[in-house]
Amino acid sequence: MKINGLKTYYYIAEGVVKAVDRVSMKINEEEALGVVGESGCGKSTVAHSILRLIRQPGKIVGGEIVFEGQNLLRKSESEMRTIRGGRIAMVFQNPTSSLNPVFTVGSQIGEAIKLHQNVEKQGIKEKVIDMLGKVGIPSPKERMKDYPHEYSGGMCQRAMMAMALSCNPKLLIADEPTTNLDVTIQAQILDLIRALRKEFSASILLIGHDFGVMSELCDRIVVMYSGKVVESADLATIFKEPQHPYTKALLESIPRINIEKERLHVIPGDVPELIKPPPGCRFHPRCEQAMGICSKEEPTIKEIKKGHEVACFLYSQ
Amino acid sequence: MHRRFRKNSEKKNEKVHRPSRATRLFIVWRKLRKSELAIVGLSIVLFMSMVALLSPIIAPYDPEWRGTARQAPSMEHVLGTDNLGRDMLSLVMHGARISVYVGVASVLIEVAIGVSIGMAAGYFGGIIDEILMRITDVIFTLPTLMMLLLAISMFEVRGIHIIVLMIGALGWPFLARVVRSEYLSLREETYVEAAKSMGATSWRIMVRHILPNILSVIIVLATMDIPWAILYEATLTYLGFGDPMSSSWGVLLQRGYPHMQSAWWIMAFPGMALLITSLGFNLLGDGLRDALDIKVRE
Repeated sequence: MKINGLKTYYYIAEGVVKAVDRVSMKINEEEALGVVGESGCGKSTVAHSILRLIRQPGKIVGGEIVFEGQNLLRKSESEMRTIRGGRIAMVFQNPTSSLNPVFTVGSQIGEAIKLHQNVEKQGIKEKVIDMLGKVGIPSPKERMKDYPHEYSGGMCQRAMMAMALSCNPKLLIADEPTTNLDVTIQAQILDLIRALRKEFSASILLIGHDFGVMSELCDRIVVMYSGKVVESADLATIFKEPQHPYTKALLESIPRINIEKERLHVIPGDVPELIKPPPGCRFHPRCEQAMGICSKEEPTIKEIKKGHEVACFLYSQ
Repeated sequence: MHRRFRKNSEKKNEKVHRPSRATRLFIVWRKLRKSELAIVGLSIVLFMSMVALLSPIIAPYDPEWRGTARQAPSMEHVLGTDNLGRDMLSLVMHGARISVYVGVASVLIEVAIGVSIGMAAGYFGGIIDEILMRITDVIFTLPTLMMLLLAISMFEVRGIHIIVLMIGALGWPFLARVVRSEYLSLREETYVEAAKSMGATSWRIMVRHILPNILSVIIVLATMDIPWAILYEATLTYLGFGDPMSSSWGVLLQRGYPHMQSAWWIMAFPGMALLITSLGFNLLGDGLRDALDIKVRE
């Protein structure tokens, strides 16, 4: 799976919002890639672009998304439908509202199976029970007949996972899958994703803003800021030798239990409005190491070490 | 509920004790039963439907039978007789047949049109929404009764079926608007996005995923529109645009009007039948709103 120069813009009355602007990233087979960034930096838009689920007034205007050797942006809508759910599945942020309230959990998972696989009725039922068991729903045979409101948030997310994985996708996109769950359930869901990743040998694209969650699961991290990738490296490198000032600032704003500090570090300022981003490097108004060139030219992303790419003028000379 | 949810490391296949699963319909009934007003409504609706169905068998007199005119209610004629000497009770019972048919059939037509148009407009939005909603606006602003009179006078034969068709064909705009606004908000739900991400088609999402979520709204509105359809038919008939061969409650009202001072029962009883039936459908509609919502616990 490779994304090259993806551009997804929203055309609203006030102008063009470049939510994703020339973003490139790569997910290797059976790898878990984490995309981190503040709210509104375009990370969810990347996820939706992969499945071509961008809604009006948004539009993918450029780049390519190559999956299993084919450009998804050139596929017809009906070809896309066989890929959605079948080859690439997605888990969302709000587990309790991701399930349709008027159908039983079992019937919803069954429907997903019916869409992509040729199984007869009894087979579907067995598969649903099997999947619910795999994601750790107790007594799946009974609980498949429950409606979503009879499930807790964590169970809903488990059920969503069962649905997403029911057709053995090669890529699972998880858009902040643990954001609305409390910490203990978060940990359970992360454990589950880790276990399922092994069992189903799928690649994972994990979207989030929490470095803690990312470090639990990911092999590599991509940091996004204001619609652009600013740094990407493997997990250990990001934590030990972050290079981009934004990544550094992000890591410093995580509360640590072992370091005594009076106040938590905050990044001054706000995420820039994407409708008229600052000229040059988009982070320069908030950057502590900004130089003259930062406000004039836009840095390009460069590999500074093997597998470690940064978009910053500090490293381009 | 929390008791049932244990960590998966504990006995995974432990038997959960729970009452036997009732079907959806039975759950609705169980909830409906709890509301007294809904039961009153349901009883009225069922009673009127039974009367409509069985009127040829259970009516005490043939509707064409004639005795002494303008008899006050008595043991012999419970609701009296009309100006031509016919038994009012039998007439009202036969009238139920036509009125209930008009109400139910025209609302079915209304629902079919209104739901399709509202669904397409709300789900697709954009130019489709624009076109469909302007058509809806035009029909909505037209005075329904005038249009009905106009439409019906275009036909040479004033059959009851044509009246039903016309009431249905002109009655859908309100329902279409409600359905549209429901689709407009529900299409943004995460479960719709989730269904899309699993590869569902637009048609499937509209019909299989969203429609069941607003079924209760549609049923409630439809139930409450039934009395309106019955009243429109009565009005049309009253104005002389009805089916002259039928003897709906509207026809009875029209015939009773000139005798209101001297023989109140000729007009009062068809009017009461109309009123009670309207009330019944309204109460039932209200009760169904709660009973159909699966999120309202028993």
